[in-house]
Amino acid sequence: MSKAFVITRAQYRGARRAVADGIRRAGQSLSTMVGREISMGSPAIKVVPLRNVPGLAGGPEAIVAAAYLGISGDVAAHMVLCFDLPSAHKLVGFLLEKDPGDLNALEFDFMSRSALSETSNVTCSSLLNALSDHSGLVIRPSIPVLVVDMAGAILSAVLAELGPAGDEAMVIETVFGQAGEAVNGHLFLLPSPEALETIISHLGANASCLTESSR
Amino acid sequence: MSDRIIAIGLGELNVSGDPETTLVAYGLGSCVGVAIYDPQVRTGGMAHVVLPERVGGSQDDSGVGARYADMAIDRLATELERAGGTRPRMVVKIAGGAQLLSLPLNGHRWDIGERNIVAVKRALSRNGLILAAYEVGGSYGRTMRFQVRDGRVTVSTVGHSEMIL
Repeated sequence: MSKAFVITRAQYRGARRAVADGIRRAGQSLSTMVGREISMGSPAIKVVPLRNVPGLAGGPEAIVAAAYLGISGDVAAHMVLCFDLPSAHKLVGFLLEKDPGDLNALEFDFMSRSALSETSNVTCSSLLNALSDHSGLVIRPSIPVLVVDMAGAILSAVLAELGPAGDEAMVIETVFGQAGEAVNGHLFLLPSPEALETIISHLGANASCLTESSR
Repeated sequence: MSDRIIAIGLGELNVSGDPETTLVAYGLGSCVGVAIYDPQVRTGGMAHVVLPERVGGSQDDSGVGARYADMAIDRLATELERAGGTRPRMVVKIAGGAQLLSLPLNGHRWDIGERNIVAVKRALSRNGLILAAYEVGGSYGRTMRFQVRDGRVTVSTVGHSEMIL
């Protein structure tokens, strides 16, 4: 984002509240799907130097199973839900009630891919629905695409699609996990600069009429 | 083994004449890593190209480094010349330009990888540089390592064997 983006206190509060509510809903959906309590870390809304984006999900070479969703409607954005490989296999094990097998296997069979995609779809849609409820904007996700590859390659490819004009990218990130048997992941929302402005201004404008608070 | 690793991040470039240095572009997706080596002065440079060209070009381009293919190749070749290199001797190897994701999204084409490859090749030829080896395209991420000592370039991927360019 090359131009300065001014955000009012009300807008920031509105954005934080909407994102926190969305993350809470996403966590509930994920827990319901998996049948276990998955706790979502408090979301960070951060502005990250471009060079650091590929390293955000455990390092640029970390192998992840990632679901990508494109977002259209009133705003254009990208969403990526990344699980490290063992977490992805454990998730599949929970979802399909089977032995996860080799936690470092690169291959996921059809049923496993389908289960991961559906989980990602429900999780991401929960967050997007919350953003839509809080902002009044139409936010439409695509079907998820599942990729197993280096985190850096996936995130930088998504970032390149935004056509970064400046040296920084706005990232909404949360880390989530399950107590005991660790299922770890990262959820990223990467809006275009225009989409960011639209979302923030609508969240601020609508913030006062919301009664729900996730705090 | 070299003991000094310099990571070349998105849109960055670096030139080194230190034989113990390895320049590395980690996790190239649609980005293209460009390694240029002058074997006589044993100096090499690497750029991590993100986009084919700047859209709406009136902005100040200082500080964008190697983000755009055309500027990246110009700058890399010029910096190598400053370090004693000569264009006719320069050996160029590139990797990356993959299409990791593909889905129709409002007619979106997901072809930045392919466009990056084309833009890099065009910029090389405009600068009188000849492409010696490449490992590009496909649908998988790559890490590109470039040893300054001997100009050796290796490309590693997830689930494929390492390749020497």
